[in-house]
Amino acid sequence: MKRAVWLLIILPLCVRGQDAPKLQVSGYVKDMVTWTINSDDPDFIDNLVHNRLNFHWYPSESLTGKLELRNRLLFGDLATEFYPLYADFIDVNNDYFDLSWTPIDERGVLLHTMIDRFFLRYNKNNWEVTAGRQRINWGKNLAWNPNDIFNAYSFFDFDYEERPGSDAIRIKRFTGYASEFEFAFNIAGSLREITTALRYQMNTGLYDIQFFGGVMKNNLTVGTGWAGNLGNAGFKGELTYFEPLEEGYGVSQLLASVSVDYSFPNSIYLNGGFLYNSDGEKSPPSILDPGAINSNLDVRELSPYVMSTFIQASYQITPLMSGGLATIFYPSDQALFLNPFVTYSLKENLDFDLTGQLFFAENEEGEYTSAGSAIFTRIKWSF
Amino acid sequence: MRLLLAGLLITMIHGLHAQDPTEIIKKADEKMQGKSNQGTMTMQIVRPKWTREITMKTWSLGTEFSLVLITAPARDKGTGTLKRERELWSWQPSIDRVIKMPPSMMMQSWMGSDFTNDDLVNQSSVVVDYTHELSGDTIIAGYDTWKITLYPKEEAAVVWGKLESYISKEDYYQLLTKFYDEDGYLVNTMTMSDIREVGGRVIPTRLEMVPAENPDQKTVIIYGDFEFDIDLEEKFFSVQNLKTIR
Repeated sequence: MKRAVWLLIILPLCVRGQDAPKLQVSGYVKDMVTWTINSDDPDFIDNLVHNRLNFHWYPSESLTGKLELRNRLLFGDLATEFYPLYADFIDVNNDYFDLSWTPIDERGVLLHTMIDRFFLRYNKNNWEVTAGRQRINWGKNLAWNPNDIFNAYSFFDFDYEERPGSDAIRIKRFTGYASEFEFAFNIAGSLREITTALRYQMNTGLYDIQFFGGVMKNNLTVGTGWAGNLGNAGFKGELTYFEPLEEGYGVSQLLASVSVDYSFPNSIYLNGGFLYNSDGEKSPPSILDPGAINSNLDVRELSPYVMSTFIQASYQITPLMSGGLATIFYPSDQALFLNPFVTYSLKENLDFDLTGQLFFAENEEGEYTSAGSAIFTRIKWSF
Repeated sequence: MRLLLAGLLITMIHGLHAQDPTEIIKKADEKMQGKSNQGTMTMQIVRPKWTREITMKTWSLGTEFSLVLITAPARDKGTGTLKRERELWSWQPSIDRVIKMPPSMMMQSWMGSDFTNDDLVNQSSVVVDYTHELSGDTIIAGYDTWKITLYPKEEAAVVWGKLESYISKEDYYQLLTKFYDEDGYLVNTMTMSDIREVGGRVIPTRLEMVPAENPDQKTVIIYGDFEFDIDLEEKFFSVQNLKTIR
């Protein structure tokens, strides 16, 4: 099996060497070591070898085909301790079609392969039609995207930079340089699971503004979002409202997020955001819900809290090194998430980064304490 | 005799006209930009111990419209930037998302280089946003040049206090430009060299920006293939093209 993995890594290099102009292959190989710090139990050390392959096919001016997949080889303490449940925890980002495989599922070792983009796109004049597994990205903000009704993502799942896709058909008509009509339909097994919506985006007075309406998993949904500026600062927002069509399919719910970002000439970048969730709680049992960390989110589960706040500061220390700190704070019970990060370019196309995810909250005895932490080191080679 | 006088007069008028500093800057700028252009360029960030290289394709129309597509390194390949007047969008193909950038991003360094986004997408215009003053002449790299001082107009959104530009008298090559901050301190020195034919024009094709604080580091831009005054309309600079252009 390992031989097969190597073949998947080596093969594209050969294709690239021949430089077929209509087919482009790119991707990366990453190695990530995760150190999970457990306060009572011994710590866990896990390793993840992660290979991404992007096959982009351009048969004509107007037609594009994309097939992208990720191969992940996981081994270590989590893969040992949580066997055989671990495979289910990893195999989560499918949509209607099951495009994932687990060639190795043993105590301590897991190999998981998943196709997360697989579509054909036709682009001519002002039209764009896309069919297949694709990412439908309607969000405007950095941290929380209530407008992402098709495929929401979790801010905690930082290692999945491409984010999951949806099995969908999408038709777009561009009506101006930054305005468009869009219809998207997410394939589902039953009427109640369908997500489909119409979206209109326009550009006016230096603002991109969008409106959409449709059905998401048996809920009527309407929303609006914008991206513009206040002076020299960026100003973005998203509002989405859900109304269940039948009992047992959620409750009436409003999600709203706003953010402001600013970039200083010395390359300090600040982003501040806020999320309101009408169906949230003041003190939910845990923010460490596996569902919330692994990005297989329903957009209504972006945060279990009524109010969530986000602040990120990042700084380009040298052209090779940047660092920063993202903070999520939940004011109702003072739970806190700290996310420091540093990235360093070792060579052209070879990057190293170090990331921390530290959670703090009150425990059952009322003490404010660490609620789980992990440190990640990654090395990434892009090709 | 009359003819000779007339001829002399015409030469004098012509000479005076050519020495109008705004005209000189306009001609030098037009020479490098054209009304529109498209081409490829390589940017090298050079430091004493390492070098990084970025290659890109660019399209631009005047100073208001531009599109930049990164073609290397592999990590950033396919990402793009669209600028229309004061608006800026960034394209992230890996997540199929167009991100609207805050206007303040213009002042930030372009991918860690000694250039700002503003320099790269020509947000400010040396012709429109500055007043021009002829302040001498000298010889640079063997060329007889005018020295022109540029002061930003009050309403212009420009980060510099003043610029000093040295332009060759014969061919309007912008050979040397010094960038000063608002307190009059030298910040960057830009030299242009490697004069050769590109897209039917003879122009400097190598541009070096050296920060005054760190003279052992620099950013180099090398122009590859270029075409000038091509048929590009405003509507070319759209989000749709940002996402599909290759």
